[in-house]
Amino acid sequence: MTTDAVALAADRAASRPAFLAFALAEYAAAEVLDAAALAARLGCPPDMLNHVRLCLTPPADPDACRAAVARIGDQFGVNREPLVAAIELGRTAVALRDDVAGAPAEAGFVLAARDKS
Amino acid sequence: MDPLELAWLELCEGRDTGGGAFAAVAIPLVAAALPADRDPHLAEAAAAEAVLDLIQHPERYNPAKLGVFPYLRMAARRDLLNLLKKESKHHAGRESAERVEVAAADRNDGQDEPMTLDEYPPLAAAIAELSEWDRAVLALMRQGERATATFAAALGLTGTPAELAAEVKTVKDRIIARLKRAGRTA
Repeated sequence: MTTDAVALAADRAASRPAFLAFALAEYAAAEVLDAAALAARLGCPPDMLNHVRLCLTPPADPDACRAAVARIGDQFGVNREPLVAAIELGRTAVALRDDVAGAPAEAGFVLAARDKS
Repeated sequence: MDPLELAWLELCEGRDTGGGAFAAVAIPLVAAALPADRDPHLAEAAAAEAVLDLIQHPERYNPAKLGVFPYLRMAARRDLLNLLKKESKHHAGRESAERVEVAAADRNDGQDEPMTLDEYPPLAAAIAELSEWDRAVLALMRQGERATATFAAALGLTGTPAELAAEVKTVKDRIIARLKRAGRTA
């Protein structure tokens, strides 16, 4: 293995909304944070960040979401406030993407431009 | 118990937070079992995709039928084939995809794998006559793949979802018809 397996998986998971990597990527982009700054914002050690990124995104149900956030917070020592903000941002990004995907053809330009950014 | 089975059980226990620990064990093992003569990074990427798929969709895996390692290896071979096909499309060449198919066949030790159609000579002959693309589609069908997008990616198709669904269905129907014809001669 020439690459760190967890980092590789976390990077690839960033395109999958089912993983926290997606929401955290949206959050980091919105807040202009690199990996170290994101780890600092979350309050977890940098070497634990990829494990957080590979957690499954909590479900939309508020109670289940709260429980999942608590589990992630407890297990990885993550601050819950930025985590919740990231999850909400991830959901918004998915909703926007779905809206664009369901919009008329010209909206494809927006999606393409967004993918390239 | 081997480390991967143990990691799988641990993932099942704490699935929403256990992805990283599972990936750390699974990806190196699966990547090492893939043909990587051209680009080891592609093998690692394919292993990572297979592991992410399993974490995301554990319901697709049936432990009663297959161990977690052979399952991941099979899924990763499919992903590697797809990645190589994408790459070979970019380079206007197909040798890599053929090489991985041959290497994957060479590595198939038959253990823990489902019974294959190839055990019946007329079907094996019909499969051998299929195009490379049709064989890739057949491989996905035999793995139980259902997503049209995956078949479309294996075929290098682009278009609207409806167009992709129609095209993929045409290819699948053609393959099934060929195999049925071959089966009737068995």
